[in-house]
Amino acid sequence: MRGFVKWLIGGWIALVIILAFAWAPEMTRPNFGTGTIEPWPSFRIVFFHVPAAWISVLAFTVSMLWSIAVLRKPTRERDDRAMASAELGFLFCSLALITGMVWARNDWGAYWNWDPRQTSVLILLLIYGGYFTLRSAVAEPLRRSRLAAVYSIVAFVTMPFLVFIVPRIMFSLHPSPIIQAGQGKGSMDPKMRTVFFMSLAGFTGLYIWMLSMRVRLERLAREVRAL
Amino acid sequence: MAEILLKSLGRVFGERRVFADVDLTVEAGERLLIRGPNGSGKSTLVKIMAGLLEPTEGRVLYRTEGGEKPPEEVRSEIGYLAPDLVLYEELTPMENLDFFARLRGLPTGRANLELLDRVGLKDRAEDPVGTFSTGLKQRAKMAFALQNRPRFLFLDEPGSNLDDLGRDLVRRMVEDHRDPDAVVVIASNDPEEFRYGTRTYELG
Amino acid sequence: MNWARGAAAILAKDLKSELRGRAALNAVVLFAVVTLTAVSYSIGGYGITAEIQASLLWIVLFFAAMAGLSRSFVVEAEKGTQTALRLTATGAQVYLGKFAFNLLLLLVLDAVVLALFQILLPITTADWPLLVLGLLLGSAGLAASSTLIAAIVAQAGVKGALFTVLAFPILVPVLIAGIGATRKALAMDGLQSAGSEIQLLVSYTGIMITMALLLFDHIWKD
Repeated sequence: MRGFVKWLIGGWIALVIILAFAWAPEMTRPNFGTGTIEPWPSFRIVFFHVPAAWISVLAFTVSMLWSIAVLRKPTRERDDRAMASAELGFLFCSLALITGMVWARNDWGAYWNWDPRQTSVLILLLIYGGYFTLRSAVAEPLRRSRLAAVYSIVAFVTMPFLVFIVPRIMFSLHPSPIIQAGQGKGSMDPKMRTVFFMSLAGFTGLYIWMLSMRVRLERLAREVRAL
Repeated sequence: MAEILLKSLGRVFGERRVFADVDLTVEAGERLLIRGPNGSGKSTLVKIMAGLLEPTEGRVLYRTEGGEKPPEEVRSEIGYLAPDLVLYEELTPMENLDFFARLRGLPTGRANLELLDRVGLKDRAEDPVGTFSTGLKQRAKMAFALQNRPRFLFLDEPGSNLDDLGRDLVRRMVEDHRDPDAVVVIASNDPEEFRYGTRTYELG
Repeated sequence: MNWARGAAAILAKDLKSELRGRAALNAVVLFAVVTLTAVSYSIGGYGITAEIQASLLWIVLFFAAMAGLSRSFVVEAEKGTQTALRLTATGAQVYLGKFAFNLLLLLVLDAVVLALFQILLPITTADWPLLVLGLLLGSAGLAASSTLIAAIVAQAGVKGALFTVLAFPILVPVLIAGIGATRKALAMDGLQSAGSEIQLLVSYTGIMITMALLLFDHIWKD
């Protein structure tokens, strides 16, 4: 069964990649300088960049929820899950940041622009970094799980503030919310939308699969140590 | 009515298990002596009973007129004296006691001065605790432990660093707690202190 | 009102200890002086805009806060006085008392930094009420989070940069809003223009204090 899931996810994502390049039409955008419509090939990165960002936020939320569970009853299993989800969140966040930087370099000429969304993703990465630094600083497992859980919850509460700061800043280089819920979904061609949501499903499946593996790995490692 | 119930108590630190399955009831009027070799977990057990440490298995309950409660809810009736208890060294014993009195909702000033007198620290009441010898610090800690007239008194190696006069103080402290409605728990390896207990529990 | 009396007692005790050692005050003020001097030395010759002035002010405040705000908790853990506090005080009393102490420390720092600014990188025109309000609210936000993080760090038992590493991402909203409000005060944009910054600072501080009160007991459990 486990092997089957692995091939399913791998196959699905491979399909998404192929469709993203071969099936989804190329995105266009108006060139305000020449007044013509020009092709925007780098837009394809959105199929991978945005799902990565969304999954990193999902992973953060899941980690926070398990952290609350840890505080209610500090078991190793709950702590493992909170940590594993944070690890994956860190991974997907890095992916989102890197793909974002590549896209930025291509479209706007610079890897980094202090664009509000870029900054939020960076701050999220720093929060993850803090979480792991804290974990490595505490030797005793019970105390480690509690302190990390508290930090995770506090950091999660900070996120809305960062998200609300974003709109307050006037000028943003970031492509306007084409995917925002309930708003302007029409700017994306239906084929593109299909590929996008297929990618999102693939990323979610990947996250869930990797999470269960990571949790299992941690449990096995603990059993080995106890021998 | 004052009882401490320990139910299936266990504590692990990382991979190291200190003890497991401790089932015990300390009844009102008893003075429990906890004995055991170094590292057997005497201090850990006392800390868990006093509510300073959480057990990894089982629980501690205090049975009073108000029902059965965890240690955190009975804190105002708990007194604790141990090597890891430290007072503020830059403050005088009076300032220390006044501070804790404010936190505990107890009177400040004269009541604390009398308390210091009882432990023989009246002459040093206005010197910072940092200038005290370890023996005098221990006496200051005794004053702290007794300040709230605790019904549940925990003493971890109370006679350590004390001279004969100091040990006499400990003896008096224990005897003053010879109350049918009070509980005393002593953890010690000092044979002299063994006789303070009405009952013994061996660890390790 | 027991929590208020207990918190006040802890504040008074911390102030008394501080006056006998001045360790936190020294660290914080000295850091601010050194940083500000170094910065103004390197850029003072050039004219600096209101934006840069605002940013500099908050950078100095932030780093000075990182230098000193964890002391009140770390010292209790290091010296071992935590046990006595755990036996006599509730989590709310400890957090609120130390929050008040850190806030006072920051307010003193604010005054010192503003004074130094006037000497080294003078502020010529400013909407002073807005400037002061921004500093006050920002300091409250800084203190609220820093005190909570300091409690965590003190339990982690490791010194060094852990405090800054944990605190910085949490404090970003305060920094952005604080810098925004200060910038608008220096540009004389008027109180209304800084409405969202002020709203953010107030709600942030409120939420952080609430979180601290909810979570503190878990930090001090063992």
